[in-house]
Amino acid sequence: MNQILAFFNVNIKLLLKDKISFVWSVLLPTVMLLLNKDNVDLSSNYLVFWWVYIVFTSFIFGVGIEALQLRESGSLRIVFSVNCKPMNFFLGNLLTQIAYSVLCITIFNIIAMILLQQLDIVLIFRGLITILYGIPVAFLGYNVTLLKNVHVKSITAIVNIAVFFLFIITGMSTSLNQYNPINLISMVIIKNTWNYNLYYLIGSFFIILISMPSILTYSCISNERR
Amino acid sequence: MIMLVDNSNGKNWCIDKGCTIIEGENGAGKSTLLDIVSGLVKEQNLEIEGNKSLVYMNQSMFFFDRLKVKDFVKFFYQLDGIKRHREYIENFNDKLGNILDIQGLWDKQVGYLSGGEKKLVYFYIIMSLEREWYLLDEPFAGVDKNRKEIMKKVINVKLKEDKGIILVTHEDDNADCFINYKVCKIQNIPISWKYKLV
Repeated sequence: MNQILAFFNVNIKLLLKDKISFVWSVLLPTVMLLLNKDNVDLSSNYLVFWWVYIVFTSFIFGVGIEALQLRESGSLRIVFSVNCKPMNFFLGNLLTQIAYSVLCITIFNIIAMILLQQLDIVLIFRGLITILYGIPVAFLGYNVTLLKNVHVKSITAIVNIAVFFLFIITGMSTSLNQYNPINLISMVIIKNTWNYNLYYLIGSFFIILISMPSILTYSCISNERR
Repeated sequence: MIMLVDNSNGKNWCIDKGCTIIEGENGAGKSTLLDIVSGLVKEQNLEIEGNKSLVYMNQSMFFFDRLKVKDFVKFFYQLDGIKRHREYIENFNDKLGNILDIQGLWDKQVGYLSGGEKKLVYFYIIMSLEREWYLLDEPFAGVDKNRKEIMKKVINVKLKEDKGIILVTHEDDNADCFINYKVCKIQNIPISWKYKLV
């Protein structure tokens, strides 16, 4: 537990110093909300897509990609030599992104309530439940650390392009959305039926199971530098 | 004692407590050897015994430049389960005769320290952790004479406590300052990891 909290504490301090990422996570959904203000009501499900987007990007970039970048910087050896377990490293990063998502979603919801001039306290809790639905994304994203012969900047660029593409097609009427995780997770939250939740739970269980090797075998040794 | 056992040919290499200085040319495999001894790199047919209690300071160590020294210290100590981090490092410094100006460094941002200061802070944190073995990869590189003396004093205090130090350095003319040291020269044979020790 100490190790998880150690990573959490240091990551939060570093995240709070990185204000641009934080502003971007909240600004993009806010701008889109402003553009669609007249067509949106807090009781509608519009905001769900943005909650999922915030959680998805936080978990993909903040957990898996971050672990990859840290490893390839060559600076994790000293940390891992202090009896650090790979699972604790993963959980510390996951906890950080959960806290970060809580902050971003809460601020976004407050902005939404101000812009739409409606008050809905339940909205804040609904937004936070999205984070639970997004946890399998963190596990799945960690599998990028298994890639050996691809440059970390290439992986980051590919993921950036993929996430942007998923963001663009979300909410559009296209058959591609049946494969779009942002859209899929949003639909599960919006439908909120036993069937959907059960299938999501089973799917999440398998995603977590198949991702465990990437977490447990995570090596701090860089593939790119000594 | 740390023992490296090569299961393919039954040979082994024992490292006794005390100061073991690893010497060799650039690219001979000194850092890779420390990676293996530390257990961070696993090699087929190679078993390591006795390396459960160690900490490893490698060359690529700069990590959190945006943090203050106090946050940096707290991070490493929290990883190790140490709670009162300020008190802990001050006690360690006190034991060494207050050779490091912790108060002066405490609120400074790590990224604003000079290369030598960063290295000394890292070194101090690593050496303050309670372990049986300390693996140090080029700790003196880029460090001025006064700070080198501080580091050597710390190493000797640990040697007096019967700890094991495995030190990779090019500064062979300073070996005499360590108590109970021995030098191992390493030559690289281009077959996997196999090393010939002289």
